[in-house]
Amino acid sequence: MKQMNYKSFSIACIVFIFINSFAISCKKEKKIEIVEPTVNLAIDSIVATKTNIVVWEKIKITAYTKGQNLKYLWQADHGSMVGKDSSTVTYWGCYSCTGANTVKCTVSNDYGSVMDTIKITVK
Amino acid sequence: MKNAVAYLIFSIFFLFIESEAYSQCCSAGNPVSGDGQQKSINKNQLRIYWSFKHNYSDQYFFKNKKEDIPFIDNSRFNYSSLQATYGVSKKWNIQTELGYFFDKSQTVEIPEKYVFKGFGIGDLGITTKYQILSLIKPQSELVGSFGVKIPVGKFDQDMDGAMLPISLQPSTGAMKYNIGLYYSRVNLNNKWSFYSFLFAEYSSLIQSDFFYYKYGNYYSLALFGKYKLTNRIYTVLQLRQEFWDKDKRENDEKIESTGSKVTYMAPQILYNFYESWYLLAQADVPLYKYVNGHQLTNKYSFSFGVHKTLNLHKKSSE
Repeated sequence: MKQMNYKSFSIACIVFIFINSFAISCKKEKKIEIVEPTVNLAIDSIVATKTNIVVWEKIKITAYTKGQNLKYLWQADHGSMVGKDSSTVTYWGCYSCTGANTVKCTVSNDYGSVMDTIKITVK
Repeated sequence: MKNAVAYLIFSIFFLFIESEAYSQCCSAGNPVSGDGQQKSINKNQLRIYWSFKHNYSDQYFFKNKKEDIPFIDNSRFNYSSLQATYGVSKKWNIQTELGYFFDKSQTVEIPEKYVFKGFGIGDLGITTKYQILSLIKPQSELVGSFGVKIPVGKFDQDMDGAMLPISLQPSTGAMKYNIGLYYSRVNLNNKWSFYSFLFAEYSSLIQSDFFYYKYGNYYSLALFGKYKLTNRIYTVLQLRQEFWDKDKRENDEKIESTGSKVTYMAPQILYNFYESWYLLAQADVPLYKYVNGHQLTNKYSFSFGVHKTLNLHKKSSE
């Protein structure tokens, strides 16, 4: 009887461990190493067509950069963006995005990654 | 709390007079799964439950009224989950759940159509349940639960070089802690069963150096009845009230257009097709919805699933 309990407990453990370890193994974090700007890689400035907008108003944000074979990653703490892998994104904020929002641009190539931010206020 | 009770009474009243059905929109994290009854299982039993849920949203609301927002066409998700519950002892069960979003997307017009698409593993749920009270006459039980949701899925998913909005990320990015109290009672003729539960979930701050965001607390209360139609078919009708507090951003500032109060009706059908195999189909129909500020609400959602309880002592039984 005791052996049966161990067996059933083992089966349950296997199912639980399978589900949980699969979940944990799927967690992958992007680690970006930020380097000092050089002539090979730098963000000169980030410019938005407007920095104070109303809900649903769309603006363009552009990163002016130095370097070749650049890859862009745009992030916003609040708001939506369409990038299409370029130096310019279209940004807008919905009703739950009102406030002073941060838009971050990370630019990478073989020399590493650099980043800069811009504040966009949505009212 | 007084307001919550008053609103609940008000909502139940509205169940009978509100003719238009509303629903919940896409939000970060796992949708509610399970058959909702949360009856405990016996020692050394293992219950496996697989489910699939589809949700479609295309309407904006201001408080409890529709409004026209031309920029968003629709928002939808297809989510599948696997849940395992094990009876450690007669009174104590543990449960784990993991799901995958095949498609968590939103179509916008900017002015050309563009589809944001997120996908991937959601949050990992681990819950422990304890049978506080069990009576033979009337056959009833009271179960308490404590659980955590761990953000194992991606929260930094990007598309075409731009990060997806929070609501389209497969994971919430935040640890969540929940407690629940479940009561069930089976009538003597075994035709009717009645269930109810109280559930509350607290979310911690999102674990990110870029975000400062905290989801609002969530509370729900449900009452439902299960009727044995034939030897193999059961029907269930659930009435559920949900409350979401407002989310917070920097400096603990409450975000105006978050948080809601929703009354759901969830009809369900359960089919016992082979020994202890059950097939389940459910629709969640929000009957009345009040949102803070302006929020996206949905049109419909449905789910189906299959569960089996294995008795690990014997070959298999319910």
